[in-house]
Parts: sequence; C-alpha cells; structure tokens
Amino acid sequence: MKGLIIKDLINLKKQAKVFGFLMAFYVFLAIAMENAAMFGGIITILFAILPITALSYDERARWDKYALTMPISRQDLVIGKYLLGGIFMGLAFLIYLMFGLITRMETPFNVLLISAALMGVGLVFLAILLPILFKWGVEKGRFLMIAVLAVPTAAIVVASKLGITPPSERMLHTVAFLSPFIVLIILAGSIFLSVRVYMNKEF
Amino acid sequence: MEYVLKAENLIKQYPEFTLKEVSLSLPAGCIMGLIGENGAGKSTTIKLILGLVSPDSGHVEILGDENIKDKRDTREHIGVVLDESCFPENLNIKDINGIMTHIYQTWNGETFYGFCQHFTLSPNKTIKEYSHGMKMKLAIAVALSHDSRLLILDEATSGLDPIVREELLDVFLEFIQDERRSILISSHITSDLEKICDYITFIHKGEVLLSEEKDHLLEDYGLLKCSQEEFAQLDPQGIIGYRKHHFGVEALVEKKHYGAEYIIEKPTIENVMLYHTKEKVI
Amino acid sequence: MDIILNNSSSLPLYEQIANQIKSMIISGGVHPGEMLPSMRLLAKELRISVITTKRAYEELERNGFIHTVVGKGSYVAERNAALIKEEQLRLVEEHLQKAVDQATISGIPLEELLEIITLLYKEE
Repeated sequence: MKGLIIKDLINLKKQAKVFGFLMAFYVFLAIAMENAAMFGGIITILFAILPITALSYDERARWDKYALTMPISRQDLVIGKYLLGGIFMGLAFLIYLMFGLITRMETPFNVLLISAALMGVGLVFLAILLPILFKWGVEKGRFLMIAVLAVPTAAIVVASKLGITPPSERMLHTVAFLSPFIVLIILAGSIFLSVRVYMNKEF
Repeated sequence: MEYVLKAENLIKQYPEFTLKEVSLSLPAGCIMGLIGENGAGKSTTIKLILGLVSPDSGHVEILGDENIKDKRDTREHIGVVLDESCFPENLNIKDINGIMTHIYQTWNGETFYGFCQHFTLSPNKTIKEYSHGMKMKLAIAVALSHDSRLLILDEATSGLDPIVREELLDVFLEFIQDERRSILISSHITSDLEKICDYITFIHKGEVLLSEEKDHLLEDYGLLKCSQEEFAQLDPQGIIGYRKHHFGVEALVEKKHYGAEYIIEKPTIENVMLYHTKEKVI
Repeated sequence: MDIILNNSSSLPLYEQIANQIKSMIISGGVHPGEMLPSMRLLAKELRISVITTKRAYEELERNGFIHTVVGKGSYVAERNAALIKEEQLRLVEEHLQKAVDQATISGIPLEELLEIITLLYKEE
C-alpha cells in the first residue's frame, strides 16, 4: 500500500502549484472579507476532492487493471484511497488550524472545533462518494458526485428559507463531541462497502 | 514435466461473446504463442488467467497456485505487459522505480535502470510525453525487473515497428534462457511468434481450435497447390481449409494424407490460422 | 561452430541440426569430450524453438554421438568407429537417393544406373 500512496502523491504533485496558488488566493480573500468560514469550506472541498482526482487519474490510465497483476490486494487498492483521504483531510485540518490561530478571527477553541468539524465533513463526504465511485467509476459517478454536494447545500438553503431555527450552541457542542465516533462509524461502513464492491469487480 | 501455467476448461459468458472450455498448459522453459483474430477471446483468456475476471467455470493454476485472484504472493513472480500503457501519466522513470520498490519484494532497481537505458527511455519525460513504443518498452522493463517466472504479454508488441519488435524478441529469448521461466505471448503478428514460440494455441470465436508444438504444426500441415480438377479428386479427410482462385486452388492439408506427387509447401503460422477459419470441404 | 538451416527444406529442422553436428563430429570439427552449445543458446541464436534443439540433441544422444549431463551440458562422445561408418553410409545413401530420384524421373532403368555407378567407381 505504501507504493500506492506514493504513486498517488507523486501523480498529484503536478497539481501542487495550482493548489498553492489557489490557497494563497483564498487566504487573502478570507482575510480581506474577514470570513474565516468561507475559507474553511473551500479548503475542505479542495482537499476532499484530491483523492477523487487520484481515482480519476487511475481510471484514465486504467491503472487498476494493471495493478491487480502485481502483488497488490484489491483491499489495498481500496483502502489506499481512504488513507489518502485521511492524509489530505488531516492536512486541511492543520491548514485551517494555522489559519484560524494566526488570523484570530475566532477564539482558539472555536478554531480547533471548526477545524475538526471541517475534517469530519470532508471525511463524511468521501465516505459517501467513494463507494459510489468504486462501483461506477469517476466518469459515470460524476453526476452522483454533484448530487451529493448539491443535496445538503439545497437542504440547508431550503431550511433557512422555511425559517427553521438553526440548532442551539449546546446541541452543536453535543454533536461535536459525538461526531468523531459518528464519522468513524460512517467511514468504517464506507470502507466495508467499497471493499465489497471491489472484490467482485471485473476488469 | 513442470507446468508454469495450467488453464482447464475455462468458460466465461458475456452478453455478446462466450469463451467455451478453453484449456492450455505451458511447461517451464517454454514460450507459448496465443493466436487468433481480434475478438477471438485471447484477451479474455489472459484476463481469466490473471484473475482480473472470474470464470463461470473451470480453473487456473499458476506456479502451483490455484487462487491467484485472492492470493497475491504468486503475482510477485508474474510479469505482465498489457496492450496499453497503464502507468499514471505524471510519473517518470525514477518515480516508477520508487513505487515498484515498495510493491515488489524482489524488485531490482539496477536491472530496471539497465533496461531503461538499453531501451533508451528518457528519464526526464513523464509517461504522458512517452510515445506508444516507449510506454511498451517501459512496461516490459518493469515486468523483467523483479523475479518473474511467468511473463504474460497481451498484444504487447502489436503497435510497434519491426525493428523494435526484433529487439524485444531478443529480450524475450534471453529471459527464457533460465529454464524455470516461461512466456505466454498473445499476438496477431504471427511472424513474430513463428520465430520464437515452442507452442501455439489458436483461439477462434471463443474456442481453442488447436494447441500444440509449433514444430508439429508446421511439419504436420502443408500448403498444397494444385489445379481445380486435381482438387476435386483429393481425399477430403485431410483438408483443413482451401482457397479457390482463378488459376487453381491452395489448400491447407494434413500432409500425411497426400503423396509426393503434389506440391506441398511448408506453411506459416498465418496460413494455419487463416485456413482453419475458412470453410471446410464437405 | 556453424549451423546453417534451410527453412524450405523438406527435412525437419531438428534433423538438419543433428546431421550437421554429426558431420562435424565425424570430420573432427568438434572433438570428443568437447562441450556443445546449450540447447537454449542454440535455440536463441538460431531463432528456433528450444523443443527443436532438444530433439536434435536427443537424436544425437540416441545414436551415441553425444551424451547430455543434466544441469551441465552436452558433450561429444568418444569416437566410435561403427557409428562413424554408419553415418558415412547414411550420407552415401542420401546422395544415391538423389540419383535414383533423378533416374526415375528421367526414365533411366536400374541396370543403366548401376552401369553408370560402376564406371564412376572405376574412374576414382
């Protein structure tokens, strides 16, 4: 698996320049607009998409078919992408943490909380998408991907229009406390599903 | 005899194509050519052998291992080259070496770089910038840089020019100097196979039409040329397929049925393949 | 060692190889005890199947011209007068067969052919 992760990291390295530029741009924008939340959201999406980009590179090169002729298990191919997701969300966590602590737009505690929450959201996002992409591939799964992004966003918009009050701070804190476990359970379920899909996949 | 690969009665059904009871056995130290027209089932057979696809029935044994799809240790000793390059596009040779070191336990970087040099593969370009020929040579370099005992090539040389193909034939022959190793090479360029194969398996429309020693094939069969009248008088038993033209008839026959009074030439593998797919004499 | 193969000959490749090596052994081109190239090397260099070279070597061994030690190689056997005679006879027969074939096609009867052979012998 180490080899697979290295491959993905090197393959994605090409994106690093553009990425760095984008990030610098958004940092600047966020400070200028004094909107840390926006930066947080954008960072989460940018990093969460990376494992999917890696998947799409693999698909384009038809790497999986080839990789399975090597001493690599189907499980490794699946879990490798989750690990990649973990690495990138971890990075996103650190970046937002640093950003938040340095710009001090929020209290340090809140910054920590938001960083963790963003990481959680990113991981859940991947947990929902990855089994879909493993089953149908990135090309075909693209539509579903947009749906997964659009549905919660639309739900939030609709909810605020309908005047549904946002959850109280106390409830948010409870959720925040439970969330690591929820995220882990969702991830575990997702991995289980992805591996099942992959075991039976034909190339 | 020690077999590196044994496939028995593989059956695989697709909506528009069925592979019917394909069997083949590859002894150690030998090269087997897999021939057949496009869509005959060569790639499907190879995918079944590699565990990329599961058979509806039948089984495969590689290097004594029957469950290659799930057990990955055997794959340490299999080198595979497919008909297209499957390397991630942004990598270069150095990156690939770095990755393969972690994938193969018996990976030998020195050997790999040696092949890359031998094939004059540019170390500064990424895969994206490689030509088709370079990508294939790279895949072959990878396949030969770990302890491969079975080399499987699926139409790997089809897009390459004759000079490169000749170079590669030498590489394959060198590979096989170690008699524990074998090669399974599928190709529709039968002239290449003619030069190096010990065995030929011919797949046509999902079935194995023949699987035997190349020498036997080329010695037992012959290309008989005669007039249309003479053809009408031939014993139909030994005729595999024939072609009538304006000035006579050419037929692939089993030599033993016909005497020295006929002009019978040594066939090529291509003749054998083409005439097997033509109509038989009723 | 030179081995020249004729792909369009009706003689199978393995026989061509065996015959050429046999001739070399008889003419002294290779000496008893000398090691022959490995079957695999021969196959590789001549671009033929290793099964062919194996068969050639097996035939040579069967007829007592070489012996093969597994794992080591094939060696030229000690010269055997009977074998040499046999091979020489085979070569003569081969040539005579050609004469007979030609005679048959040309319609020359056996007696006339025998006369020609006798005359040629007397000239030698």
